[in-house]
Amino acid sequence: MAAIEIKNLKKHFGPTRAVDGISFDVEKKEIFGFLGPNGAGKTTTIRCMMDFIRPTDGSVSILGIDSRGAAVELKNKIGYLPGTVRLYDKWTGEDHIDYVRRLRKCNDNARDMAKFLDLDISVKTRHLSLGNSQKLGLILALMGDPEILVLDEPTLGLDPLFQDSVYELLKKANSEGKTIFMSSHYLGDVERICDRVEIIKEGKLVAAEGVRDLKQKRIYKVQAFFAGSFDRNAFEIEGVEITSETSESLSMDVKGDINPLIARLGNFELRDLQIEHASLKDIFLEFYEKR
Amino acid sequence: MSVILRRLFKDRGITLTIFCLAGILLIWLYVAFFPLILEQAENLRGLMESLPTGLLRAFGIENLDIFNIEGFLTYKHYSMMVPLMLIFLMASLAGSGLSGEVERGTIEISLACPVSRLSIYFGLYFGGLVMLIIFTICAVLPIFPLAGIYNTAVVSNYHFLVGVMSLFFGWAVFSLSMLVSAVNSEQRRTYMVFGGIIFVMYILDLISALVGSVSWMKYLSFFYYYNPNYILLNNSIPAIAILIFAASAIVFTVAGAVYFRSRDIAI
Repeated sequence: MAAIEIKNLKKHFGPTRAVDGISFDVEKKEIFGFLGPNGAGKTTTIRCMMDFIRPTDGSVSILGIDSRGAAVELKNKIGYLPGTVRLYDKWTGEDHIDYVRRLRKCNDNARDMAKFLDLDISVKTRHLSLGNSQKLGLILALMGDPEILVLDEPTLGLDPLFQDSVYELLKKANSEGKTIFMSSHYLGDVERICDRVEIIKEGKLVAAEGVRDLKQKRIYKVQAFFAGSFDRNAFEIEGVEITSETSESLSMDVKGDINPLIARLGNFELRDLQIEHASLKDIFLEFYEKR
Repeated sequence: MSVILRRLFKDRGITLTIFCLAGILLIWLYVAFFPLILEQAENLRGLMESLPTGLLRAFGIENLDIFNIEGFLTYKHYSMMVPLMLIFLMASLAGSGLSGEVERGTIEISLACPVSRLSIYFGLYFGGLVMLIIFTICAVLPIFPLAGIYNTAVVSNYHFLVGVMSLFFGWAVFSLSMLVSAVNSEQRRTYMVFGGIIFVMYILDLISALVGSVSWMKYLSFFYYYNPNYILLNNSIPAIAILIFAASAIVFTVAGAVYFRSRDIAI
């Protein structure tokens, strides 16, 4: 039995088809990525899973139980982190933890997690930064030892150091047997942690990928500034496209493995080198636009 | 449900305290100033008699003798301040409790936990009712110790009956505001819609008292049924008022709960 089964899920808001007939399964103990640009339908799908909104058609089944018919029973087994954590600004972190502990009727493992994440839970949440609010949201999601974690953009707005702490925490949870479903619009997020990825665009699934395949779909934007003369023809490499050039520099798009280009650049003296990941939007345009 | 109820008191305890203190201070003020009113009795009686009967009827104070403490409190406190404060308090509780939480997104914290929507709704609902009882006690019962302090004789039964009527009125108003709040996702919109309904009820009651041909409109207004003056004159609560308030409260409560249970909750 799959941990999460989504069948022909549709959610329409008037004429807007936020989610339009998606189906997929998430296996138990899997870290599953749900990737898509902003407005693709990720959050709507998650809200249907959490029974915050009701599907226009289709079904969501979690641990074999219909998410709508037995929402209360299911939520004992689900930890949820919203995309933007909304907290009671007059409460402290401890107040939030106490409130969720009473609703979940669970033992309190939150203080240990707060220590691990270096979060002061004694201050009122209106004084918390975005990152610290996200930490508290993550603690609330993990309270009660849920079997499944549903995380909507778990690293949104976080600095890289804290992102590492979140990944560490999620990997630990996964190693303890938890199934993790996480959405993101950053390719890097899902690459780092997920076993498998579904890609959604304009409410429809456009691809299911293993993470290894997904890595092949990386696009880098490279700008090389040369200290002396250079041979343009040296950069006629498979997967490398020269997008602009001057007498001193080359701009290139690289699809897939970047190492052949790096090796070739090593033959020239460089003044500067800039490498950026292409946005998910660019990747979609390149690989999924025609689907 | 008790967790939600507890949280309501934690969040809205200061609001309730302010309203309760205001209720106590107002009744204290009226009792303390009542001897001054008696000193001006003749002038005021002449002024009252010079006002058009229709106007007095419109404000529910025809046949009202304000020169005893019950009449004075009916005129100043029970007919004006108590219902006004009840409306503000109940609207504030319902607005911030449901639509306010949806608007701020904090309702997701509760919804993500193993608690049903009906538990959330009725947790707030019963919390609001407990607050209604506390406020009504504070707005009515201080008359007894205050009357003792200022050596004023009071008719106990009247004040108890007004208290009971205020409770039923507050129950109906709160249920209506919970329904409006359950339907909306913005706190401000809830206040506007609820305020609009209350305003229309008030206008209907006013017009029906002034224009005989449309007197039937009074039956559409809570303010027609909430009538402390009737209790003063008859020493009883009109059964129809209790019936209307209770029936309205039950209908609004069920409608609000059913809608809240089935609606999409998204920011």
